[in-house]
Amino acid sequence: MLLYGLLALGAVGCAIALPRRRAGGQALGALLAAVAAGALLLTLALAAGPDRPSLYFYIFAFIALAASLRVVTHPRPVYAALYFVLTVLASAGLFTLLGAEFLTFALVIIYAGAILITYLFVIMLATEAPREERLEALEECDIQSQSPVLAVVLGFALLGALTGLLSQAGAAQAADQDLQRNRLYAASQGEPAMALLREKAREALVRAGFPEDVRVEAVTPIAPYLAYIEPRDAADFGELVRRSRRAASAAALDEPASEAQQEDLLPASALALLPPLAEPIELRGRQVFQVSLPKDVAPTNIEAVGVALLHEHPLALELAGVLLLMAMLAAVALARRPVESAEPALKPLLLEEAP
Amino acid sequence: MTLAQSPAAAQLLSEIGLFHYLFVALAMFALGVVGFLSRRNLIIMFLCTELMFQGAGLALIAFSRYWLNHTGEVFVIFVLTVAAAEAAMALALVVLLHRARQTLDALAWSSMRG
Repeated sequence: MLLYGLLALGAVGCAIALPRRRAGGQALGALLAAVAAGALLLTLALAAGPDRPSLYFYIFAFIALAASLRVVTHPRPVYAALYFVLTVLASAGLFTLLGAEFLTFALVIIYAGAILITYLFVIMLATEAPREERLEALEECDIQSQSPVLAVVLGFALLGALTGLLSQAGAAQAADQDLQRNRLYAASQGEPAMALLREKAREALVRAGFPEDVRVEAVTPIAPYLAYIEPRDAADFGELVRRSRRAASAAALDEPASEAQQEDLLPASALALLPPLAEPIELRGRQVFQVSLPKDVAPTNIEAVGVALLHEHPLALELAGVLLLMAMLAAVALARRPVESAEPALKPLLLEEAP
Repeated sequence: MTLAQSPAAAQLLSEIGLFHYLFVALAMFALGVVGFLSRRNLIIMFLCTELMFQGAGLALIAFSRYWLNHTGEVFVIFVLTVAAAEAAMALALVVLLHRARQTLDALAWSSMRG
């Protein structure tokens, strides 16, 4: 309930902050909305308990919300675009907190670096230069926003409805104890990203000294990375582990080897990865052994996104390229078309440069 | 600490954490809706649609983290692509509209209102 009250407060602040003909009060409205946003985040933080995201989430979230508020309410277009750059940067920070590093870079480079620069160029082109008698004037359309109250009511009603829906869904799912296990299981089903992780796990295990024909049946998709390997014969593998451990402890105590050194014993680096009790576990009808993997087996976000993009969605990638090409051609075609101008004084100039 | 060992990727996102991120994404989207409906400057209106894209992208990434899937991130790549294409088209149209009426006011085209 408190959440809805704070939303209403934010709505009121937003409505006051939108550009109006009667000056004054807008700073107060913006401050009110910012306070409402801060209080909302604080409420979320207090309600969360031990599961709450790190402090940086709240910092980035507050910056993103405050900057997007200023985008919407600032009367000058250039400042609105610059505040939007700030929103993009805060959003990129939130992406990093969610582990999507590639998209952080992509967002900053593409959005802040290309799209918004284009916006700024067009704003510069389309805004009149200040003349003698109107030095600091704003465009008429920036002074008064149209039906601010209705717009704010609609927007915040949407936000309130979706927030209510989400909080109900969240409460229902939090009660499901098996959801965590189901998520892990669902994530480890034969996807290209998981196939990449399994391949890296297999290479790491072979490097550590496991036999070449070890087969990785499953890997947990998050840290600590555990692999479930299926050797050719579970009983043989168990025996191999015991013999290797005996040989290793014999070597550690500098005792003479009681039996001839066999080449297929597992080295110490492989033994370190096995749990103390190397017993086979039943997984999906197979006998597997649990192994803990070295830390560098985790695929970086760029690797994983690249694999997902190219293995699962190659057609969409091609279509995106075609879309960009079409947009570029269409923009060039649009910009070349001569337009009937309202001002007669400019007509000779326009006729001259029309193709 | 390499990227692969970043703490962000090392743990599951809980339902409460997901709700936090989705709330921020929804708030950005709602602010975009408010701006789109209330501002009259054409460029600011398109900037608010870009703000809505940001909200949608953040929601996608949050879900991608929650389900330990990378489909959401791949979709955000395409959202960025579409946003770039849409920005190019929208700005070309705004330039043309500005040339026609010498103003960026959306109400200058209100004669189209039925």
